[in-house]
Amino acid sequence: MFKFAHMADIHIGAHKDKRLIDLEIEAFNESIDICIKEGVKFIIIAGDFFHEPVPELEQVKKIIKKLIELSELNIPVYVVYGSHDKWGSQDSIIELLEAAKLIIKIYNPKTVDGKIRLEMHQDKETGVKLAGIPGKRGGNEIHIFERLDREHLENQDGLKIFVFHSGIEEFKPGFLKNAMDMQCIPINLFPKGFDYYAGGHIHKRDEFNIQNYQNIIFPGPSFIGWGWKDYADVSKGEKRGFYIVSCENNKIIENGIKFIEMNKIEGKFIEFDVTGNRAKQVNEEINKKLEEEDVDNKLVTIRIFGELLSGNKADIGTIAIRKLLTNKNAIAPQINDRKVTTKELRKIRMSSEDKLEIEEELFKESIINIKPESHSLQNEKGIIMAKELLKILKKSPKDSSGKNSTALQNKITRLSIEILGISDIMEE
Amino acid sequence: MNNKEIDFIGQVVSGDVAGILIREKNVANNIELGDLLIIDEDDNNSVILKVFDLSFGSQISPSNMELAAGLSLEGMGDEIDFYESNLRNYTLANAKAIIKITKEGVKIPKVLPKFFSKIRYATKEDLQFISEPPEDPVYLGNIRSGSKVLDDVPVYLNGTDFFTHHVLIPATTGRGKSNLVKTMLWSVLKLGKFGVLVLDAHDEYYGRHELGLKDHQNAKEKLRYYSSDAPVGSNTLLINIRTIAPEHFEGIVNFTEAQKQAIWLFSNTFRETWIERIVLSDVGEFEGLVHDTTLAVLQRKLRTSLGIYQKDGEIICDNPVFSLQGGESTLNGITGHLQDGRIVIIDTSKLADQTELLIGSMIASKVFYRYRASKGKGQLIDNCPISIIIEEAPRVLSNDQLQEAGENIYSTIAREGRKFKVGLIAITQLTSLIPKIILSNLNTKIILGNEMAAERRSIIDCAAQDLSEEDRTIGSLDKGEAIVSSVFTKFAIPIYTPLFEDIARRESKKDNKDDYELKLD
Repeated sequence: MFKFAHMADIHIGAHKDKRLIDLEIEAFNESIDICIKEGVKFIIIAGDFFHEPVPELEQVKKIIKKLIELSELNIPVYVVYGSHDKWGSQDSIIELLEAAKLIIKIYNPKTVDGKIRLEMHQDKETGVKLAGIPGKRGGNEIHIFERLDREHLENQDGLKIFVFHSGIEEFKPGFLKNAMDMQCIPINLFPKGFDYYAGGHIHKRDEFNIQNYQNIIFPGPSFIGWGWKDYADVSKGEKRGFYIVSCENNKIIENGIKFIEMNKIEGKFIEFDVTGNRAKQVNEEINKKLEEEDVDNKLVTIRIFGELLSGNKADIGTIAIRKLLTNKNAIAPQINDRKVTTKELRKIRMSSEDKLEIEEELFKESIINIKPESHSLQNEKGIIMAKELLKILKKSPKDSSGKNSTALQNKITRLSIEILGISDIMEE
Repeated sequence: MNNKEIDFIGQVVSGDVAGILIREKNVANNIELGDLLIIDEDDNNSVILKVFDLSFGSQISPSNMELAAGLSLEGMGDEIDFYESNLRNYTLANAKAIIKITKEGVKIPKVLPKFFSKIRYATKEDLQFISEPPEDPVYLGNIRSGSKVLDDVPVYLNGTDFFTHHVLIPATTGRGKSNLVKTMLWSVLKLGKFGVLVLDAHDEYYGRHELGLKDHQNAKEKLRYYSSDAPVGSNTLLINIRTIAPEHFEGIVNFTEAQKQAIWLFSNTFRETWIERIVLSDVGEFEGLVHDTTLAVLQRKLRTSLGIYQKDGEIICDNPVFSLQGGESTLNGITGHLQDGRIVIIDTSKLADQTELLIGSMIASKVFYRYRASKGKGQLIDNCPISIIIEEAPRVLSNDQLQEAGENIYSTIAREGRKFKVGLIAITQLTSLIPKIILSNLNTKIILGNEMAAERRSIIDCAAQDLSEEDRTIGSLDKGEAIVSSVFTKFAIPIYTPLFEDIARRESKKDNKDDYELKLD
């Protein structure tokens, strides 16, 4: 009998809060320690190991230390890129780790008769065969799936694992409300008959079985993830973690797929409905309630919603709320008041409360009104490009010491040019 | 036009507004039922007439005719022939003036054409005004005069009017209904501006093994196909039972008042897990409120309609479509595709009748209520019109069904959908089963051949134009031939829909290569 581990969406480097940064590394180290203790023979990371292609080196250094430990114990780490690990042709820390033989990329494509053939990687110790497809920005990995030589993979024998970093159309979670939110892959573009489908990208733990496709597993983020929804989910008590899978005689044993919960952080989710109250009254009530709450050393997420009787959203003192929570030793308090409206503002109320979703909604609206001539700026393509560009432009050109960094400025410019696809024009 | 250059084929000899009698010239090219004929008037105006009846005419008295036939049949007059036969025996065509073309435009004729006017066949030039494509044109076929097709005169309707004001396609088997719908949808794919939901009971539109809508060059962008047995690259139809709401059953599955109340009790209390709770008899806090027999009948009905039941305390779902795993965003996804102007084909060929209707009801409800909410927010203007194609429409729109099971989402859309840019395309062999109030809301009728007199009468009664004289014509419509009667056309237009395969072969994507430049790294 042997075991392997499956984790995904670790997003090292996603947090700005010092305590979260430390906890994130601790969580990773602990998960690796559990794997070692459980005697896993290999670890799969199904994309988004890092939050960006080149994260802060201080964090990378700590990760490398742990990977060296695994390497010394002859526990290979198999990875595919996630949509955060690599952007276009930009360098990625993953390549560096691969060159240092600390991880093994299992996406090995070649073109045969117009199809993409993936060479399977066989784990030396267990004989398990692995193949994978990386996640690409904007869900562009669908083009690989569409041209995939599935038959070649289906004809391989032995215990087989397919690693991917994509949403599956049929298993798209309900919170991804409509088709345009995310490019997903129809299940029948996957090769059939694998013993285990190790997924990443979807920040929600889930397990699926469907005819011809058994054990489709999404572990969700192993720590928090990133973004308002992930913070809120963890604050509400949603468990994060990874899977350990037990195998015997070239099969996954019955009930051998186990989720390992990581209780690294405790959360507190608090909601305030301000409907019918005046802004001043709201501040008093929130302060009173928070004074009573135990938020010590907890990840705190506060959602304020409803229609104010008078005053406006700006009158709600989110800075003071954050300060109060910080003084009470809350971790990285997140306050979301995007669903607070006044009667006057009702008309521009957005249907979403996630910052990224609001941005997307605004892009959708704008792209209809602007009607751009360039094909690459139209419809979904235009929205994806705008979102990517905004993400780059949001980055601070200052380094960790707070000084303007020419290198960072150049990086932002270079990435923006890449996203806009105007490298040739700029060179001219 | 110089009279000498024109091939006249007849002359007005008598009649009235209801029917103008034309004596046919003895030529090889006989006048047919449904032929479009032209009377050129002095001031460059012309009148289009449509033939609705044919009969014999003769200058010889009936008794003499009968005697002549007797002599011929009894072998007593082999040599007998009529003197100047062409002059004495002829065909009379009864035609109705359907439109007058003037410099100012086209009008409904209010006066009789000049007595003794000469008649000719309509030409492409006469009918040019029909082939002018409207905004967002939906192609239905080419104009037809009798059985002669004028290939250069395509017939289009404005897509928004056509889809949002509902369509009825009455047709018996084998008259070209699928071909018509496929051809129509092919042109919709070109536009990419209309969402159309096709509940495909025969899996005939996508073209899984033959030419179909999948072969359109815009298919990748504008067509989505869902099937419980999906071919590679299309979507497996999977609907999570937690996304099913009680209203989806309305008018589809018959529930008694007690059962309805129990359903709402479970749904209001347990929210999205209401079906699981019923199936598991997990009544929770309202122990005793729901009678055991009511619960047992509900479980049986849910098993019949969704294939869901419990075994040893575990929920089993043996319907390939409904599931406890996955399919959480299928309904939202489909609605989103429709909203983005895509055609969504749901292959229901392997599903039970009730399952098909239930799936249709779920999607139709989602679309209708989403669009109604959009109107409330003033955002409807940005939404693509959406149409829902429902085959064998009396299953949900018949008098009996509506009385027995109550109103359903289809009848609601038929009545109110137009206000919210949601339309229906109802296909049926039995128009007579659909209530008049619903038929009157279906503002375009594409009438294909029908042998059943009672059905023809129902169709004629609800047509947008007076088709009272077209009974015989409708009965004689051949495969591919149809009459389009719409509030958006000046007259009932005879059309012929070309073979879909010919269009698809001519226009389908030449190159299947994906234009995405894929980098393998």
